[in-house]
Amino acid sequence: MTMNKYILSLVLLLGAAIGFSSCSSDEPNSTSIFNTTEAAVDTASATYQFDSWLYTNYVQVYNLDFRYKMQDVGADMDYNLVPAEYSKAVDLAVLAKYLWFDVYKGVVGIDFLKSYGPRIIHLIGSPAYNAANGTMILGLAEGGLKVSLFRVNYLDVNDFLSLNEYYFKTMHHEFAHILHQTKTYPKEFNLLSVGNYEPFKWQERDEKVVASLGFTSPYASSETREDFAETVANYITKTDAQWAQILDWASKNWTLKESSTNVYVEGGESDGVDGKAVILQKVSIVRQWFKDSWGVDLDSLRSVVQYRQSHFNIDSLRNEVYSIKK
Amino acid sequence: MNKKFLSVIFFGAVLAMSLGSCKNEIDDVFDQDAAARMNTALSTYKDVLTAPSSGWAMEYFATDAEQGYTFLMKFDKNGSVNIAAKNTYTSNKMAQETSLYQFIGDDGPVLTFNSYNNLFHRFSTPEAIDGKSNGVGHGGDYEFIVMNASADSVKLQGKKVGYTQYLYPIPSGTSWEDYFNQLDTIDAKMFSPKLPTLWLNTANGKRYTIGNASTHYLSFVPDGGDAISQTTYAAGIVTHDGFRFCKPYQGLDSTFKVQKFVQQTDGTLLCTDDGKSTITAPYLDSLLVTKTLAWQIEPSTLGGDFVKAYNDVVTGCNTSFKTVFQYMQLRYDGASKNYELLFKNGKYTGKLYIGVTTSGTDKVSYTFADDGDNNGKVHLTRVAAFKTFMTLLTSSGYTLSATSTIAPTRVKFTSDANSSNYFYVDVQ
Repeated sequence: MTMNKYILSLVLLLGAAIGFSSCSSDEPNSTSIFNTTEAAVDTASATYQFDSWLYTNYVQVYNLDFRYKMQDVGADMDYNLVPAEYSKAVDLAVLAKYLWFDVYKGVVGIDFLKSYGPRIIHLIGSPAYNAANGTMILGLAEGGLKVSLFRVNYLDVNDFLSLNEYYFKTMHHEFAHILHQTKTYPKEFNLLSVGNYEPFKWQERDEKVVASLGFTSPYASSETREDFAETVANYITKTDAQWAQILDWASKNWTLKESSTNVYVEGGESDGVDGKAVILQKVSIVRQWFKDSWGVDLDSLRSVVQYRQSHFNIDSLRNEVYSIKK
Repeated sequence: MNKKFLSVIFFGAVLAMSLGSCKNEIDDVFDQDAAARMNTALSTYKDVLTAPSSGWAMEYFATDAEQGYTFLMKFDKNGSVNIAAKNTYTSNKMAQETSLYQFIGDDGPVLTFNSYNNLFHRFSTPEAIDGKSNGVGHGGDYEFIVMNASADSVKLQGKKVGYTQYLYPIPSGTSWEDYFNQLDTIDAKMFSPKLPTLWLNTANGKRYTIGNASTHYLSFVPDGGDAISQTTYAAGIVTHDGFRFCKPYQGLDSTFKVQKFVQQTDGTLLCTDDGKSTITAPYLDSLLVTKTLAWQIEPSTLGGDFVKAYNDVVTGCNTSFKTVFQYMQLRYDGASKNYELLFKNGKYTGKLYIGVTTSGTDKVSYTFADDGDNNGKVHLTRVAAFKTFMTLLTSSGYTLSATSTIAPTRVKFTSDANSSNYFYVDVQ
């Protein structure tokens, strides 16, 4: 019986070997499904200047694919989305380099983003609206490799507060996700606001009220990991005045204004949380985690971001692209 | 021995199976591998789209719940595409914008307009329209599977929403302004916003009354049907040779199917799907008695006895009232519930009530019993020419005719008693 099994196995193995060897003689076509013979940047293309700039500044430096020509298969097909405007994509690309990549490069060194930075940035012109709850998606980090930025067609280079809110805060937020998906943050962060998260109705919460509960934004109050990413992003990108405002809100009690359903005024009963202390404690954890896990000085990062976001010259940045000879 | 025999059988069988399975892979059904064939197709499609010197006209539907829109497109080998539009969103003036396109091997060969174009992507952007919530917008595609492409036409299918779109080459030397103007002319010849209804006359003998044709989002009510419960809708687009629905219209009972119509020399739209169905105006006499329409007699078109009769009214009014006579209209008066000849003399408006009889197709006759509103009666008394005109008007029946069978905004009345007596009326 044992011998029969052995023979049968041998037969099958031999047969399989013959089968595989005969199949392997059918050499696979050496032609890649991708066009590898093409030059890295097509000089005849209408987008040569931008493609050339992206190749030099993103592909060669960070091995990053900056996808400004939207591919809907690269986005959630359940949403109605549109591509980014070409000129807006150029603006966002040069600003992202100046306000994000070059910041990390200067503070931590170029290898940091080479190792941990996204491999793909995908631009999408419109927001991804969640009609059911009136919210919109501004950014997505997928698998620690890809960051999708939405609402690019609304980019206004003359309004750095909106630039921060919709793009660069989003980039820091999504990058924080990439980082904590790589090295987890301390569990104690998740314990600081237990019981105060509201996963389904966070969008209905007031920014002052959530600050008093220890959150840097309503979205931060949705769940712990978003709280972590929002703490990182808000601390880095909010101006001194904006950050002071959050801490001020956090140190007060808030109550609904009489006969109003959404306007809050100072006063009322305490929510039992020292919001300012909680936020500062969260920042402290973030600061230590950046230092211990990544060797990054969070305050230096914030300092450089704060300086750059109020000192950029968009014409000069654009010129890096548009001055490239065709 | 048995084991050896079995082994031989096993070896033989497995070997045969192995060779058999490999044989299928060795056969070359195609001369290129799949990726190479895709790349060849994409390259060919790009050659087709970049060839016409004046570009292409794209007949685009975002959905079947909204009219279609024409885009003129000039594709460049460098990956840019210049797009022109002329619609309500461009204040009906031609606007152009250049953006990017690409052929990609995705869900089959796909033509994607992959950078935002304000003229084109407004039909795909999820921003709210018509008071609806953000998230949907017009809901149109901007990526299209290439179904087939030749020098004569390109057929695309929206990748996400799925509607079929067509591109046709713009005749060489035709400017885009001229092309849009030609479409406007065709549109005006077919669908007058002044005429409320058309008829769809199907190959199997059914008739549907069409409403809102000038909006290109048509409503249909079956002959004798209930407008509240039996109205159906279909989106369409004016094409270079007529009109096309977004998808085949099949009425209430799907006993017919019509989609593409070509305009004939008399204006009739003939369905090229079945070669029989038509879209026409209703019978002329029914238009003349449509209660929402006013038909104004055009003085420069009078013939025979109507020349003197009308001019005498004008002169008589001037003599009696020192006024300048302005116009006469045949219409229905909702207040008195009478058909009437309404006239405007200087600042005075008068009404002379008339009876109307129609034949059911193209005949009409009038009666007059010296009745009217106060102004009408005063004019009838003080200007004798009014009585003469009304007598002439009611002296015979008329045969109605129009140049266009689909947009008869001007109708000729020819006296059945004397064909040299005639006049034209224009719908207001």
